[in-house]
Amino acid sequence: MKNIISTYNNLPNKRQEETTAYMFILPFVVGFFIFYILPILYCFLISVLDFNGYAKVSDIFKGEIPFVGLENFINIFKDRVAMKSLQNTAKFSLMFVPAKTMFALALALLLNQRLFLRGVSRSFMLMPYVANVVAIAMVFSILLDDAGPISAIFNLFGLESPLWLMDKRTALPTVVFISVWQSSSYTALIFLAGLQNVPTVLYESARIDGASLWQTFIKITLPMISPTTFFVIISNTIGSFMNYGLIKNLTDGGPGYETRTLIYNIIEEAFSFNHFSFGTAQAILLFFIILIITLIQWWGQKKWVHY
Amino acid sequence: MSLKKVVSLLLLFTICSTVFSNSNSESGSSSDDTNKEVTVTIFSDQNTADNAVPVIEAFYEETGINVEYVVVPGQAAEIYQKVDISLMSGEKTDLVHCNSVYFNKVGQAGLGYDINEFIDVDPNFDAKEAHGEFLQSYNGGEVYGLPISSTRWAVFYNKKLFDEAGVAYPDGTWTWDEYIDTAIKLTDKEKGIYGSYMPSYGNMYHIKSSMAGVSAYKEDGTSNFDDPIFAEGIKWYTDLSAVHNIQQSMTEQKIKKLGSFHFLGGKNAMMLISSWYLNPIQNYEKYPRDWEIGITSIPTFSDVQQNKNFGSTQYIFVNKNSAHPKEAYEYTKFYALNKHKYVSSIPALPNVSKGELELTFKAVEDGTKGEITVDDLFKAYFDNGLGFGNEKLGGVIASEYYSALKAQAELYALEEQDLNETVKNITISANEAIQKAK
Repeated sequence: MKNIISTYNNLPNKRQEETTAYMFILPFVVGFFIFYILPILYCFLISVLDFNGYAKVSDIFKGEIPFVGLENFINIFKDRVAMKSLQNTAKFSLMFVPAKTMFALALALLLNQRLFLRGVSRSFMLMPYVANVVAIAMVFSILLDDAGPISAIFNLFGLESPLWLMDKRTALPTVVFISVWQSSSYTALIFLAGLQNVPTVLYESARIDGASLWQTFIKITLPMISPTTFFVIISNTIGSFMNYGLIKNLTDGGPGYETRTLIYNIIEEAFSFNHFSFGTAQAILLFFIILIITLIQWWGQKKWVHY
Repeated sequence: MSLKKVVSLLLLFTICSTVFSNSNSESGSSSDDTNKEVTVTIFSDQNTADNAVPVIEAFYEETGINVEYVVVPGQAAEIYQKVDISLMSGEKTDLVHCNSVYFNKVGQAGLGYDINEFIDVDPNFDAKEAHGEFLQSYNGGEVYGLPISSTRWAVFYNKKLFDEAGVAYPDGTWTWDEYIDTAIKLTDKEKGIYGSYMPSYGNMYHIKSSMAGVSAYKEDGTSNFDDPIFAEGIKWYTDLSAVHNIQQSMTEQKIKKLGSFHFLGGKNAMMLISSWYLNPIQNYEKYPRDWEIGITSIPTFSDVQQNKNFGSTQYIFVNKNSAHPKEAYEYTKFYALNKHKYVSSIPALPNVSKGELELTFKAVEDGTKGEITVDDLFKAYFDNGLGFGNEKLGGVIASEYYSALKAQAELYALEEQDLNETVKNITISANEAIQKAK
């Protein structure tokens, strides 16, 4: 290995090769800096200013917008609607992540079997994921209407159908359900790839040793796909905070504030009320929440992820 | 130079020129110096842009100035969100077509171009005399735009459903209790017919205070929502569906996405709506119907001393960064003084002659093939003994007010909380927003 490196370092065109390589990644780096890094830095800047009304963006750099330190962040904890949004976000994530992970795994296990029309099933399975979120919202609004088919089924059994999206108790779980339905197929594909990488010899050995299906699943399948599961849980957790489109089209944050999540509140504060600094402070808070959760999960992986 | 070097340099040049090229050539006014032809640009919604075509043509004929409507997709609130960003980032689009709430917001923020510069030297136009109290000024008398129309509300009704139910057409001298009684007679749930339709706009929850002329703000600037009239208004609107069953509930409207044009589907016998509705009812191609439409005056509250009709004023706002402020002013003035001649609307001109109004209403009569006459329109909007007030809550925190109102009213409609708690929560939210705005 050392010989290879020293040989490379002594190549006459090494500098040229490196320059060409940098030039090829330059467009991405420039774009990444302009469209990701700069906006993030800008967010941190305006979150400590009082940019909560109409002002020109250039006023920031002229020093015409006062510096307020952590006031916007402190105000989040004093704002009832913001705190309610934070609470709803936590509830949403706690329901969404386990539900989506388990449902996607179940789907992947099913599709990993030798089924009739397995190929076609796999294609159809992806349809919710590629469907437009507005179309999904409209379809479910019709399905869950009190005069819709779901209510009709309840009535058939003599039961009273809940209002689903318009009931304080059921609105958020219903949104979670629809969100899980819409996004699980892609996660199932990831699990499917993980399942197919499990060596079949392990299953054969387990069968020979007389292990049951459940024992095989717990002792072989789960540990072997633990790296995939770890990745899925992290990405699902991050994804659970990005639910604006579905909520906007299904319930518009209602009834009352029951489905108003933090991301919804951020957009409303920033773009409806022009409270840019306040909205950005919430966005940064969301960023740190996601970061902390991800770090905790990363630390926890040593205990249950087997590479 | 090796081929690899040449290719690498060419690639780098192409990518850099693509990344750093100016892509902002389309926003703001376009000005072709060689032809000396100016194009004034204006933000608006699709409906307004469609209706403005004859105005643009007439303006061009008179002045040689082009006007280009930049249609911003979405509903009103979404449109203004996008326009906000454009204005704050210094975009040069000349004008913004907006409602009074938005005009007030941007006016107070000083984002407009003071057109007094042109008004003062215009020998043919006295803005104060022409527009009266509709003209708004900010920041020590600066005028950022002109009022272009003033809406009023009336009840449109489906004559076919009245005939089928054997109910006489309303003559406009009625109270809200009589309206409800009429709607009950017209409602036939088995046929899916409702007697009434009032879209769950925010202002529907405070119709009573609008008609009574009660402000949403106390004299000290705090929220006046604890005035009993606001609670009565919320209860009154909610009871239309919850108690009287004469229209779809707010919940049903939201889930089924019933909008302003649902009435034209022919399943609701009456609809209270603003005068902007005079345009779509003339569009038989887009909204075909096999029934005739009528119009009558808004009912009154029997326990309100001096009932007022209400409405809002539409404005054209001149952007501070307008590329062609003089031409933008010319179009704004032309539109404000002449819109009603080309688009069915009530002008924001207190001194407009009856003859001119008759011409405007005649166009509606022709457009509706005689279903609504000039006489009907005068009786519905003017000759009804009603005063005139503001349809919106207004003020600096209008958006926050409506956000809180809709959220709390929804919970009340779903029986999740009582009326007192609803009003209390709205008042608290409004006062918090007022504090933040200070």
